[in-house]
Amino acid sequence: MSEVRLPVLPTTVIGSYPRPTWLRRMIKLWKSGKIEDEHMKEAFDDAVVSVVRDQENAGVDIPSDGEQRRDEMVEYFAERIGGFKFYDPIRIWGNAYFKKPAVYAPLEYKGSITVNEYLFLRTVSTRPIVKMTITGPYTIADWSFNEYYSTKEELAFELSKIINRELKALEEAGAPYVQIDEPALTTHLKELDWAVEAINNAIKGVNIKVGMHVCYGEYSRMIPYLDNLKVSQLAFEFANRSFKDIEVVKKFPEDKELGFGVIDVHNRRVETVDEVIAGIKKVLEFIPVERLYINPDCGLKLLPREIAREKMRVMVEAVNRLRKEIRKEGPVIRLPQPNLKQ
Amino acid sequence: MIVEAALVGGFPRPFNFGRLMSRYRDGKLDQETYEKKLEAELTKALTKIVNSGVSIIPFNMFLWDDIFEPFASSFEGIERGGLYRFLDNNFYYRIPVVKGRVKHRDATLATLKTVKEIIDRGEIRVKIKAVIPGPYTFLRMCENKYYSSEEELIVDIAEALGEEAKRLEESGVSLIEIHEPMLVSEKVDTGLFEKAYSRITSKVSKGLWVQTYFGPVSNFLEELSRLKLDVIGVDVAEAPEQLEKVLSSGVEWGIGLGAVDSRSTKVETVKQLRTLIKKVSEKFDKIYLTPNAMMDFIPVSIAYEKIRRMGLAVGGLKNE
Repeated sequence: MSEVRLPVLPTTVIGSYPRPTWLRRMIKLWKSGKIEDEHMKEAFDDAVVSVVRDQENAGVDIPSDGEQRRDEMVEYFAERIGGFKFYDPIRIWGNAYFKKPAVYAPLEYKGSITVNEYLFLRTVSTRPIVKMTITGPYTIADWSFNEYYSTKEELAFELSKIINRELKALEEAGAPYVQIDEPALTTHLKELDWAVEAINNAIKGVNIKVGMHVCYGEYSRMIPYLDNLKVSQLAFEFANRSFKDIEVVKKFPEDKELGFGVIDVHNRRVETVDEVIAGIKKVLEFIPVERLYINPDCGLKLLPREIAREKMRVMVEAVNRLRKEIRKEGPVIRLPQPNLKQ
Repeated sequence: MIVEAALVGGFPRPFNFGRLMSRYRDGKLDQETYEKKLEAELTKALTKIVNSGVSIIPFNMFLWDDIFEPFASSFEGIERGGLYRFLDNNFYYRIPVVKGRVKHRDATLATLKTVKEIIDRGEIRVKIKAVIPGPYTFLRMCENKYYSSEEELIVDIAEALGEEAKRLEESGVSLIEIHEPMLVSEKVDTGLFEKAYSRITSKVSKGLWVQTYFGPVSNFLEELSRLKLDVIGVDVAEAPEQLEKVLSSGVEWGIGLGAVDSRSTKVETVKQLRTLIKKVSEKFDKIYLTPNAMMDFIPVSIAYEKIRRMGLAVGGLKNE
C-alpha cells in the first residue's frame, strides 16, 4: 500500500473552478442542439486540462477538476439518480439561480456518477494527490423538494445509501481523497443528530480519506456534533467573515484536520499575501500545523477566471512564505489500490 | 367580511427577468433598453398574478435581492457585507453591516414611483403594499460594528424604518408589511421590541401589517396585541398548531392567513384553503389569504399554480 507525504500546510481547492469562457459558449450551443455530444465531451475534457493547469501553475498541491462538467452541485447528482425531476430554476441570491430537484419516486442508483471524472482528472494532473467532491446526502435532501418520502430524514438516509455506493466506486477506481460537500448542514440545528448519522452512513466501509466541507452557517452551532462525525477533515470558510469567528475552532475535534478557508470567493478583491498569512497565523493559535490544510472558503466558480487564478497564486505564495518559517513535514495520504472492473 | 388574496414579501423572480437584471448590472445593457425590457417583464408578471385572483401585491417584490437590500444600500451608517443564509433556507442575503450611526435616507420611494407608473400604464388593477424588514429582525440579522448597546441600535433602525414607512404612506401606500420572522425563531426581547415599535407606530398609525413566518408566533401574541396594527400575518402552513391560539388570542385586527406553503412544491387544494378561511372567519372580519412567506423558494411555475388556487378559494367564498 503506497502513500504520499504532502508538504506542510497542503494547499487545495474546495472543488469548483470558473469555467473557461469558450466552455460556457460551447455548453450554450450544446444545450440548444448545435453541438454533438462527443464534441461536448472533448470540450469538457479540455476544460479540465485548462483549469487543472491553472491550479498547478498557481502552485496548488491538491487540485480538483474544477467541477467543469457540473452546472450545480445538487442538480448534477439529482440528474443521475433515479427518482428526481426538475421544475424551473429558483433564485438563491442576487441573480444566481439553481435547478432545485424534486423527489417524486423511489430513489435508484443508476451507476457511478463521478468515477469517470476521477479517472480523467488522474490522467491530467501532475500532482500525486487529487481531490474529488461529492454532494452529501443531507444537502441533497435539504435542497430538494420532497414529494415522495414521508420525511426528510427518510429521504436523507435513502440518499446516504446511494452516496455510499458512489464513494466505494471511487475507492475502487483509486481515488485517494474525496470531499463530501454539506453546505446545508448548519441550517437546521434540530436535524443535526440524524444528519450526522446519515453522513456516517454514507461513508460506512469506505477506506480512503474523506473530508467534509460546510459553508455559510454558524459553525458554533455545529461544533458539538462534530465528534460523532466519521470524516477525517472539515473544510470551513473564514475569509468571507474576515476571520472574525475564528475562535470557534477552539472546540474543534482533536481527531480531525481543518481545511482552513483563507480566500473569499464572493468578493472580487484579491486578498493580499499578508492578509492570508495573518489569517493562517491566527488559526495556528488553536490548531496545530500538522492538522491544517489551506483552501479557499468555497468553490471558486462564480469568480472571473483571472481573479480565481490570482487568488490561488496569493494563497500559495502566503503558504510558501510560512513554510520557510515552519520547517515540518506535512500529512500523509494513503493511495488505494485501483480495482477497476469497468 | 373582507376576504382577499394577497402576496407577502416576494414572488419568484423568473429566470429571464434575473438574467435581464444581471446583464444590466454587468453593464451589458444600457439603461433605456433595460427599463423598457423591465417594464415588459413586470407588466407580464403582474398581469398574470392579478388574473390569478390576487388583489394585493408588494410593489418591490421582483426588484430587490433580499428584504434588507434597499435599506442596507441606502440608510446612512449601513453597508452590505458578505453572503449569509436567510434563516434556514438555501437562500442567501448580504448581511447589513452597521458601521456608523443609522439614519434614514430614501430607500424604496424611487422604486415605488417606477412600479406605480408601470401598473398605471399597463392598466393593472391591483392594490400595492410596501414591504420593510422589521426592526427586531433587522437587529438580529445584521452585524453591529458601531453601537455599544442593542437598544441604541434597534431604536435608530426603527427610527429609520419608521421614517421610510411614513414616506411610503404619504406617497399613497395604504399597507406597510413589516417582516418579523425573528419573532418566531427565538425568545424575543420584549423590551427591545416595544421600544422599536413605539418608534414605528408614532410615525405610521394605520395600515401596519406585521408578517411572521416559518414557525409559530403564538407565544408572542400578547405583546403584539398591544400594538396598533391592522394585520398580523401568521404561518399556518408550517405551524398549523398555532391557529387555535391565534383564534383565542386578544388579537382583533385583520389576519394574514399564511396557508400556502412557500417552501413546498406540493400544491394546496382549493378546499383546504377554503376550510381554513371559514375557520378564521369565526373571529376575523378582515382575512387576507396569503402564502406563509415570500415565494422565492419555489419554482415560478409552482408559485403561479399556488396563487391560482388562492384566487379560486377566495373567489369561491366571495360568491357564497
